[in-house]
Amino acid sequence: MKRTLLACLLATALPAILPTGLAAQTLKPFDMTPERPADVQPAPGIPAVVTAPAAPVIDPTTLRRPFLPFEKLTLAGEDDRRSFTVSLTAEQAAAAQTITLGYQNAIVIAPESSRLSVTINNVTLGETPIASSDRVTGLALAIPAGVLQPGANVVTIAAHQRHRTDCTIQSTFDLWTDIRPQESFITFAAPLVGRLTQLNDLAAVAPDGKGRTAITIVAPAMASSGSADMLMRLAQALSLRVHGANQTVTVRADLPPVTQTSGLTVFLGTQSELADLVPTLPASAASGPALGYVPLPMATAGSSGAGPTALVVSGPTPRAVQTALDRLLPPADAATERHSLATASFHAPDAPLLTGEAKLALSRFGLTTTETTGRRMRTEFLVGLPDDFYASAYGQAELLLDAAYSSAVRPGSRVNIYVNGDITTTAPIAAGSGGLMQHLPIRLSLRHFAPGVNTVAIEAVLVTDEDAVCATGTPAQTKPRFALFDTTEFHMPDFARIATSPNLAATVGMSAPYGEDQPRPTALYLDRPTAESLSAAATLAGRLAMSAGKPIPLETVGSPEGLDNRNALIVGTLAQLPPALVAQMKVATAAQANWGDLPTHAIATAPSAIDSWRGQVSGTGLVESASRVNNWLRRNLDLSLDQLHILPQSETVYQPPRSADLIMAQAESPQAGGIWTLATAPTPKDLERGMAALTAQALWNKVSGRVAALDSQTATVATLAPQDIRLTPTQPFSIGNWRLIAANWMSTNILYFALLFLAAFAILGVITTLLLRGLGRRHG
Amino acid sequence: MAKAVNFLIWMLVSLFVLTLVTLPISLQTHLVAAFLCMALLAILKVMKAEGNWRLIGLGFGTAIVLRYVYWRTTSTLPPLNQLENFIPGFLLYLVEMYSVAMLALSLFLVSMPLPEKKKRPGTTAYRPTVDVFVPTYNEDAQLLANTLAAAKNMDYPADKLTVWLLDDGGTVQKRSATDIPSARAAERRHAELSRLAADLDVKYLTRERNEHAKAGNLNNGLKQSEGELVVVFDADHAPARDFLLETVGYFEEDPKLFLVQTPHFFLNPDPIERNLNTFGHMPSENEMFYGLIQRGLDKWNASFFCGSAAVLRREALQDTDGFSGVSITEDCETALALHGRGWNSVYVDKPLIAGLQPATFASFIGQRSRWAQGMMQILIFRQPLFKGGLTFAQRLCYMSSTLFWLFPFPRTMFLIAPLFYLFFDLEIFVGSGGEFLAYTMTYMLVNLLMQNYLYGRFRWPWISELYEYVQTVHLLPAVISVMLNPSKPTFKVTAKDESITQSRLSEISAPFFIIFAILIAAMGMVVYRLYVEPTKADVTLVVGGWNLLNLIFAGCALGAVTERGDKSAARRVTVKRRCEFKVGDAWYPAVIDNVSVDGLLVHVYDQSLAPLKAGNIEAIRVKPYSEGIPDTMAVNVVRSSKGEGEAISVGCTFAPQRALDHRLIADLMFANSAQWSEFQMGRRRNPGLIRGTLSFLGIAAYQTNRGLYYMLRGLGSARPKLPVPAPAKGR
Repeated sequence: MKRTLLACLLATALPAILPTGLAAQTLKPFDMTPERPADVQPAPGIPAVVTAPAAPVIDPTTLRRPFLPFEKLTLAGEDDRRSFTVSLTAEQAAAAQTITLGYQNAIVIAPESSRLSVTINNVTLGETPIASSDRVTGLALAIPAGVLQPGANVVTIAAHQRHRTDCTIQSTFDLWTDIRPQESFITFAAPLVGRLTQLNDLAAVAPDGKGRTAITIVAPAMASSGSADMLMRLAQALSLRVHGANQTVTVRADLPPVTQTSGLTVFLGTQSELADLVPTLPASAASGPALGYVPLPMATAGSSGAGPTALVVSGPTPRAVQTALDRLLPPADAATERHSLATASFHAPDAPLLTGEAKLALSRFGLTTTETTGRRMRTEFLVGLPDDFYASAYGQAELLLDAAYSSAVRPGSRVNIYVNGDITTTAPIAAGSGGLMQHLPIRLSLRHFAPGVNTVAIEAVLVTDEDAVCATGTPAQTKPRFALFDTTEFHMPDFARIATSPNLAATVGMSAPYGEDQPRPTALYLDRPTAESLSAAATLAGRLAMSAGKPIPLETVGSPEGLDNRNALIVGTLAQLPPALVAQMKVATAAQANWGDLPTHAIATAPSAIDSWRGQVSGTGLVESASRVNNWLRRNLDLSLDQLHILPQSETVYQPPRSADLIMAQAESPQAGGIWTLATAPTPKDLERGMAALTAQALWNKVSGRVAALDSQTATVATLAPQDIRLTPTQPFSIGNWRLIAANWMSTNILYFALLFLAAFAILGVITTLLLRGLGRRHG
Repeated sequence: MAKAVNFLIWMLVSLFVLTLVTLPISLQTHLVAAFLCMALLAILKVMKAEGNWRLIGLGFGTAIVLRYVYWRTTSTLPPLNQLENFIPGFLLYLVEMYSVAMLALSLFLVSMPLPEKKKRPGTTAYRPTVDVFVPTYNEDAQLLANTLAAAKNMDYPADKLTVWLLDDGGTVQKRSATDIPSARAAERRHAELSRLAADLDVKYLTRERNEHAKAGNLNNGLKQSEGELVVVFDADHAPARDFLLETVGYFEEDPKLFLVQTPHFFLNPDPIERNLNTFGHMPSENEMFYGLIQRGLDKWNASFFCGSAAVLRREALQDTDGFSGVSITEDCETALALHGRGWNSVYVDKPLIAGLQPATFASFIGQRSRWAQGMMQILIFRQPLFKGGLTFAQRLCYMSSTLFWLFPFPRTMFLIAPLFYLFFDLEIFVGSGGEFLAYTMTYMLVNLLMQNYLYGRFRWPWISELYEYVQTVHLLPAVISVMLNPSKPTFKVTAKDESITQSRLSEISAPFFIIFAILIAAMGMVVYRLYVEPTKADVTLVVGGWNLLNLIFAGCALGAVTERGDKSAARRVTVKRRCEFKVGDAWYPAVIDNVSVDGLLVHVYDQSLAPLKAGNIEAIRVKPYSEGIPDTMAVNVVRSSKGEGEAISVGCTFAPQRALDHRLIADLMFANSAQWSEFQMGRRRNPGLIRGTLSFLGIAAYQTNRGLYYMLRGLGSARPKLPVPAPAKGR
């Protein structure tokens, strides 16, 4: 009776019930009882290990869940910490026993005065001297019961590091401890890794030993028409639920060859398509939309019934599959404005999204009051900015610093502010006999801010007499020298808001313009529906959905004509794309034939040789002195003669360098109605791999401008700033906003301002002359 | 109608301009725009562009100033929670805004000064009766004799001209003072001046009590006389012959005219000019006022009475019951009152009188203190901005004239502002080195450019700043005291008959040396800070540069307050005039080369003559310009030598036997006003910003040394201070 009722409910209102924990916790997403009798046994809260003691051999990978969402976590400097969330299923949270950090540190770190500690949900589990410079050591700490909770848990890893002998500020850059993801894991009492039971458990999908969260979509019919749309929809739905920091989506038609306990395998297809691949496919899939977990077909531990699971999205017909897929989408709350960007999975808490004037205390960014006994203190926080942020040319934010320094601090000490890795401000700390700074304003230029997530770092550099002498034990002295209070505020002024294009930074940061409500879905053009292209597109779509905070409606089009005049994503190898399309993206069509043919370094060195010679030959004449002036201006005033142009500059055709594995380019559609974003690579393999590399957290936010080129050898992204920028209003008209927009535009088009300024005052002079002539006593 | 349309367009353009100015553009953008503005302004200035171009140039300058004001207001004030920074920072901000406001008023004033008036006004038939008032308090008879004689010499129908000697030094009150020696001196003065007046056919007038100082004295003169027009000459202001011809006609043209003011031309340098040795080649300090500001005021019918060298209409004066005497600058106050009642004024930009300036730095400061305090009193008691009956332009003009005297406040603040940082580590001006370069430097440069553009011929670069600094040290307390107690200051007559025979430090020079020492110490702090705080080097360098500028002024001021001994007692004026010179009993043809109030140099043409013996009493005969002037006068040979060709040169002093002889002296000395104009024009050239600055730096370096030398000499000779030796007689 109860079950029948539930089945009815599920068919109609599954999405509403599933994510809301309690009711769903005791029930299955859909009825799989006949096929999986063991699944009923573990009652909620009771570790599965109790009920399955009989399993003779347990694969260790099913007991150890990797948790670092980084390829490598380096804690550097004297005091460093990193917080991020680790999501666990209810079972996993209950069964977790220890957390292990595999770490290795710099040899110069003094073990007696250096500590590595782990905190989960504000409970410090323990700490250890940092003393593993010659090999990777595992620091295993027991997790007390009740510390971990189902769902997101905040893990903080902190390192307090002191140099053995050196007291210089420079020496603090030699202090590092690497935490290795492959040797860092949470150990469960039962083989629960990869085992998911609720839809919400999707957030608990574990990363692999490289910090990547791999989602494998097995779709036997992937090449058929119409399935690409569904694949993209699935990739986005999964991305929004899993929310891995470095997440890749791989699409394939068959079973993956190797068993993976990390990551997630998803089966997408009609019942008939999947029947051969998934023996445990529920029978209900033949009768109606089916969404649920099945034991991972290729997992060896599957026989015990408690092994890793795979997600099945199925049904008797493609339409039913679609219905099942729709249930996977997170509940839409489009009505509410976003107040934060989801960054907790790699940097907790979520970054607040500032859409206008705001003043936030550091405590809002998850920072606490910190003191240091060292010589260089660094702390950072994340700030989210909207996609139509348009203030980088003129704006200034402010840090109202609440801090104190002791009498030991000498002149020359300073506070440096970095934005996205670039130093923007250096404020000397007035020295003498110590001091307390209360809301001391420090200005920071908005130049390095971009739409999306921005990292602001505060670094205090402290010069003391003790350090100059550097007697034994000084590196580790315990008297605090500097304190940064969490009442320090970050003040963002009201800034100009208007969308610009091309602007890849807004696309990667906020999914603009694809994340906005549009009359027609964004078009997706794939060169060919191969596994590689689909994987790359799915990875991109998933990443964009995360940036947008919601799924983006995509519609696959078979030919470039279908792109019409709307927003579009284009994914494919360069050689396979129509030349007209490539030209429209202002990418050299010649590269279609030769990109990637030559060894990557053969040509790259040639221009640099010329450049190096050019540097040695001291020129004379006008050109040379102009360049000298230019250099001086750039060095001292951050001004370059290139900025002084009047005629609108047209975009040059971009020639992809040999070293690039993948480029993203953005341009307007031919009739300027839509914005097209291209992701392309020399080969299909490059495309898939490159997209996976580029969407990783470390690189994704580096994408900006008109073209971004990934060099995976060096893990860098080279960008090309646009010359011809189109502005599209996003806000209701207000004089205040337009004034700020004008300020930014004028600050970008310097000579326009100068000429307008001159003209305005010349006119003022003339009209004043006329006015004065008529007033007062006449002449002559 | 067209005016209204113009005004509307002007308002719209201004609104647009303000919108542009207040855009929060980046530093780089500002820098580029400011650089272009400055370059264009400099080009227009170099090309001496006039008319429309002049105001366009000034527009470019204004652009940068406005951008500076916007930046200064929005980004540079210290946070309110740091009161130790905020209070001095805000004060500095206030005085800077005062400076900007004064710049705006000056721009308004001198944007379009009226050009020189070419033709004489009125008809020759218009010759109303004129009373000439020469008020005196303590000037000696000889000085008065020349002034009265020159007044009598003026080209005007004798029956229409009455000269009055208004003596306030011989009043009944003075003569019956309880202090017997002073009473006797007053008695003697009364008798001497009465006789002088009688001899010169001048009316002598004194009164019961010395009430309301100069204004009271003049009002007493008004009561006793009835001429249609009233002319006022200070005791040392001798008019040229054509004074009345150049001025009276305006009263015919405009029945509502109450004042024709003419410039004060001085035969001697002011103490600072003399000490800096610039009198011969650089325009005098007052020339900017008389050469430009008064012309600018004239455009707005706001040229005001300067106490002397002016013609006034009795009817107008009766309208306000005579000269106003609430403030100690009765002249400007009177003009303000009459402008307020709808009367008009005219300024004639042509020197028609020659006068004397105070000779010592102390009396110079005394004079300026009176002006500053008087103008403050007008500001406080008369409130020109809100005074009824004035046009808006007139209000602005009077505000400009009175507010100018607040300059001691900004000067003081600019002087001490760098010290806050250097000595106390206070950050009263928030800004980086780059911002300072882009905003403050361009602002300062533009100020200099505009100043040079507007005033270049009348005022050389940095001289305004120097004069203001030199006065500030003593004027600041004077201005503060009048603000605290506006009715306290009383009229003090400026002494103009002193002379300096020996170089020495002024008796009020001590503060300048103290300030100089403090600024030197501050420079030491700059070096120290650069050494210990290399991270703040940019700020330290900027503040250090500022302090260096102050130090240059302070150093230059040391020389300016070190009195330079002046050998010649009176200024000589070149005249080429035929005469006859009597040697023995024979008259020889001769030419007068130059004249001073004391004597003259004559070339006597006769080959038989040998140089004369010093001490001889000879005589000279000239054809005077006016009737009633004796043509012959005895002279005392001082030196004589063989001149070129057949001539001998004879230097002699006048030996007037009777008061009437002074009319001949005046005829020789003051007859020709054209030569005064020529002398002024000879100095009125614009050296340009760069040459002017270099020349100022040269002066400053030299004067610093000179001041320090006399200070050290004063310290070295540790003898008690001797009284100033009396001027050597017999030259």
